[in-house]
Amino acid sequence: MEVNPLNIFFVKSDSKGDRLLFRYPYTTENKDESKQKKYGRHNPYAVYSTEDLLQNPQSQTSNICKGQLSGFTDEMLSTLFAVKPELCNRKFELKVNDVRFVGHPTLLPYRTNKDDTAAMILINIVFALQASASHSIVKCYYDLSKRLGKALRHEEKRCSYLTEEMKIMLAAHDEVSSLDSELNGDNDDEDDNMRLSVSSATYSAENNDCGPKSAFHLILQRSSLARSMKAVFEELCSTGIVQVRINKWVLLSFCLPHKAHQIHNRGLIIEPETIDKCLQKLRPYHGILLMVNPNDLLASIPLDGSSALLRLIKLYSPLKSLQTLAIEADLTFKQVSQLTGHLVYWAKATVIYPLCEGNVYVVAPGANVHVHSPLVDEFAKEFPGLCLVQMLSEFSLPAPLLWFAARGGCGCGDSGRLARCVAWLLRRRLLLQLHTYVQFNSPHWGRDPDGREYFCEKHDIYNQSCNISFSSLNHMHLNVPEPVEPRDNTVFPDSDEDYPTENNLNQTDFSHTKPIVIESDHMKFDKFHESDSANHSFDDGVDVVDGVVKTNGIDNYDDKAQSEKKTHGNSVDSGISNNINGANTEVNGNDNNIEHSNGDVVDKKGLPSRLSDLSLKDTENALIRDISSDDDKFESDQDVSPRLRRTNGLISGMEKRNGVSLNLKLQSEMSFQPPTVWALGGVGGCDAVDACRAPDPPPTESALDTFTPDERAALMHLPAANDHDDLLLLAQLHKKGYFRGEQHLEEIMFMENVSRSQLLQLLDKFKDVLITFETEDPAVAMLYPYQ
Amino acid sequence: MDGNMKFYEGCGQEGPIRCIFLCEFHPTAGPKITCQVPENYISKDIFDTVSHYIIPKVQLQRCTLTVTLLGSKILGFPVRIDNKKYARNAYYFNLCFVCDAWARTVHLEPLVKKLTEYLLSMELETEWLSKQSTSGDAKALGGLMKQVMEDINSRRMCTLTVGKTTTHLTVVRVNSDPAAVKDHQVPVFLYSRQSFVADQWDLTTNQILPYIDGFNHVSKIAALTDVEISLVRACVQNLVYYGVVTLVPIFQYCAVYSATPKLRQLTRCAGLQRQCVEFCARSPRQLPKVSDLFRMYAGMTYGSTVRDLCRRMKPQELAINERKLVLFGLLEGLIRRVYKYPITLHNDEHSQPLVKTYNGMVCLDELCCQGGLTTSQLEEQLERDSNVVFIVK
Repeated sequence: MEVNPLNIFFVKSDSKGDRLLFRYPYTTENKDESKQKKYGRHNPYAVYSTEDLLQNPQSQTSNICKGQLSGFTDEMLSTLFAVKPELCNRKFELKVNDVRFVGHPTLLPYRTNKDDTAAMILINIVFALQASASHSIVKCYYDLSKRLGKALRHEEKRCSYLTEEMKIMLAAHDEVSSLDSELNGDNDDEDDNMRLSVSSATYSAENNDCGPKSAFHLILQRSSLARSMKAVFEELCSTGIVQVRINKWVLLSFCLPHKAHQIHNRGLIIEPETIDKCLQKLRPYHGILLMVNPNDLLASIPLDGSSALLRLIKLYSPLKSLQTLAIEADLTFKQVSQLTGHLVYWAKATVIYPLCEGNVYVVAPGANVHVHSPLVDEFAKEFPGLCLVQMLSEFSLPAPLLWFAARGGCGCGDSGRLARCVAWLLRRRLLLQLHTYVQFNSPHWGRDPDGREYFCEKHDIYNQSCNISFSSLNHMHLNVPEPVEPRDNTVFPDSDEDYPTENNLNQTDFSHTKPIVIESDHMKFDKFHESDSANHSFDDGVDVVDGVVKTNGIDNYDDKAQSEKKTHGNSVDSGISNNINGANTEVNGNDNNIEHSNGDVVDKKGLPSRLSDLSLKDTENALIRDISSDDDKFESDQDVSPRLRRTNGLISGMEKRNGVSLNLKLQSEMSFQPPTVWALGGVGGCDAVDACRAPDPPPTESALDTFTPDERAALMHLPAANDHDDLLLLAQLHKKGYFRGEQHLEEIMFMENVSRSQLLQLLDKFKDVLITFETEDPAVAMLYPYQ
Repeated sequence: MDGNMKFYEGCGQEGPIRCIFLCEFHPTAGPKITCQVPENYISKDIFDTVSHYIIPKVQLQRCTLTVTLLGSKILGFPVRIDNKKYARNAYYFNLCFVCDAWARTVHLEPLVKKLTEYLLSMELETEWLSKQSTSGDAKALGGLMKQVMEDINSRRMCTLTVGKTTTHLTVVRVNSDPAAVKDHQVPVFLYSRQSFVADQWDLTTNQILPYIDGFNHVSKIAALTDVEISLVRACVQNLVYYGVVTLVPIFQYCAVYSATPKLRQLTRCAGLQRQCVEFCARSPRQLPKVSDLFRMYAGMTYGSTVRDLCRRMKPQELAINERKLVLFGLLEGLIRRVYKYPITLHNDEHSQPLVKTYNGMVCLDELCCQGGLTTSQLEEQLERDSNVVFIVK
């Protein structure tokens, strides 16, 4: 496999010259082959082609023999890898025939024997790869080499580790070569032959059977650094995840995602760039599905790992959306999505749409299932009595899981088992979820000016510009872009309601929704991200030595301090989070904060002040309720069945204005954009206020502004257009761009707080102008094997 | 180098040759550049730092070497000629191409090798190189390198003539080997037939070319042309390698397709819409509407066959050619085929020798093609066998 390294080399170069100190693997059984070759050459019957006008021997085209490197001597490699000082501390890449060497030559000061004059030494840890390995694989290996170099530099500075280890290695080399010269005293000619014949074996390979081992073998026994390198190589080959403690001090964590994902899914190659793109498309309604047991994962995280990650994993459930997780773990969505990025990168999780009964699954096109596939047995072991093939054949026709469960789901007794079963299938990428997208059938197709001439460029939707890559591990930022539309900055607190109602698999998981507004102030979270996501390791690898990983706890503390300092602080969410934390003493101050910030927000938005007047009271009420009943809030939320709440909220919009729903009110306050509860209708904030004030629906004409005259004409002919409410909802959704085939029904439900049945009814009523199509969510499908 | 957003390392794109130089091992001065086009692209300093990859030790002679350093990529094929007539009894030289670090250069490797061998033979015959380097007048060599660089960058091919010898250089795209061609697959031209130069291809390919129309599958082409089917397969595979044709699944009214996320491109990309309208029209005089085309694609989903769709939408009334519609969708990736794979359960117990078992690797299309059955016949046959289930994917 081209993902695996062929070899690892350790070369030094100092005033005493360059030397290949260690390589792994070092034993090659080409002794016989070289002998055969030798005899073959002397075959008297062989025809020598004198026609060959090129006097040099035929050129070698491959340096890989049976999966191992061949054709390079150690001396040659050491001269190649001992680069000139000008090339130090930058990427070294050399391709010879079909082998690519990549490394990061590191120049570091080290102490020579007694005198303290620090001389410079160059070390280069080089990986040999197959030349066909993709660029992103090469980049990962380069990064690993760089980190190893850094770790060694650190350890050399701390306790002269490198000096000691090099002494051991050099001593072993000298020992073996002196033994060699003794042994080979009588057969010099043969030794010369060996040196001439190009072989990858060490020069002492010949003596393998008679007494002394090769120098590398000795080194491996004596040197801990050599053992670390061996461990690095072997972990790369087996799992792709390297966890090595250099000198029992510096923990080096590294993940080669191309390999790591193959542990769970053979043949699935996920490049860091793909994960980047997936993260860019991550939305609050997405969820995560762990590939491993959460307890195992918790156990594998080092002690100094990020506490945010620990909390996230403790609260994990495939039924929860990222937003729910964020709220429960007291993190921002941005943090959660970055943690998701980590988990996906390390092949610990994948991105899904949270499991619920409304989900529609089909067999993934890349699913490699046949009678003899090992998955069949694995499945039978995991779910006794069920047959994988039969299970998959049940997914031949797309149907919501609900129906599946109703039919008894081919032996899946209870719905819990069905959920586990689906999760298993999703982990193996055997199932793919279909979503319904809606396109408004405008009479003017392609009138959008964008994309007209960039036809070819825009074709590949998986190929968004992705320049800074996820794999640039040592650079400080993780590439999560700012959400494009303002809508995304705000998470609608009560939009979670959609999940529990659909989801009877595990109701308690969705039963409470803490109102919180994520992202009002980007700056302070940037601090957090910098330290947290410097590397894609749970604990920051080498750099952790110097810097402490900032935990969210600290960050919260900062927030508090900040909000206390500033009386006019505009950090809405800090106030809220404090409230939730039950900081009763700060109630007044926070209320002030919120008042001010609300004023700010409203002013910024340029809304009439009556909105703030109206809403502020509600906020205060809500907040006070929130604070006072911090603990029993959850219970009260649970008491009200989500279904009931939904019907309250959605079917009778009038009641909504009078009977204050806690979450709703908070939302209308906190979100930096107009409330979008359907019955309050309205296209903008002012309309919303109007709707609140006057029971009459806002003028339909203004809502219809969003349609072109032609579209209006088309709508006019529809009987459904006579219903004001329906038309308003349509106009509202259309205005927000939900009918451009970009957002699936679940996203509309999530963002706009409408129910599925309501949307389906709307789609049905306006089916002449709305075209639906079913396809997969590109963000999720990205992590599936290419077809 | 990385300033341009489009060209980052690993973008996988080919770039122009920036420079060609010839360097050799001077008996006294060591490695040095004899001739360089354009002048001073590789400065003396840079050359010194990388020289030991360009004039390497003995074992690396005659290997294609690519070294990526300091923002450029240097490709070479070092050569040594052993002969008593040279100082130090050997003449080392290496002709190197320089590209940007982001560029893909695999396709240039055979070129470097061939050019080097051309120079080598000239050197062996007439000492063409060593004469120029000792005299210090490398005009002929410089002219040759300039020609190579210009021609390869602009036309991707080059014909060199020095004295009486001629050599041809062409850049050949390096692709991975295409998958084996199956009998039920349909080859489709990726660009217009007119631009296809028929005399570049072999006789068998020429024989099957007229039958590649986007609807005939491989075994039908074989039958129509009376060419042995394995030859047809090989020809089609060859055409796939060179990107002339691509393979799509066979069109059948009982086939099921599913929309892909790319379908939404059709709603906004005017270029795609225009192409689609023109391609899918029944006649050029009456063009279908984009919204109808989109509706057709949107109707393609699991569980609904093309037949169902046609009954519902009546494409002939909408001036849509449904076969072309499906073909266009497949070529542009707007839709994908959903295959049916029969698979036999419990095949271990009381395996009757007469009943055929299915392992789930072969789709219905292929089975039909092998057995010469229609899909409905085969499906009927399989429905009767209670041990067989279908996986649709």
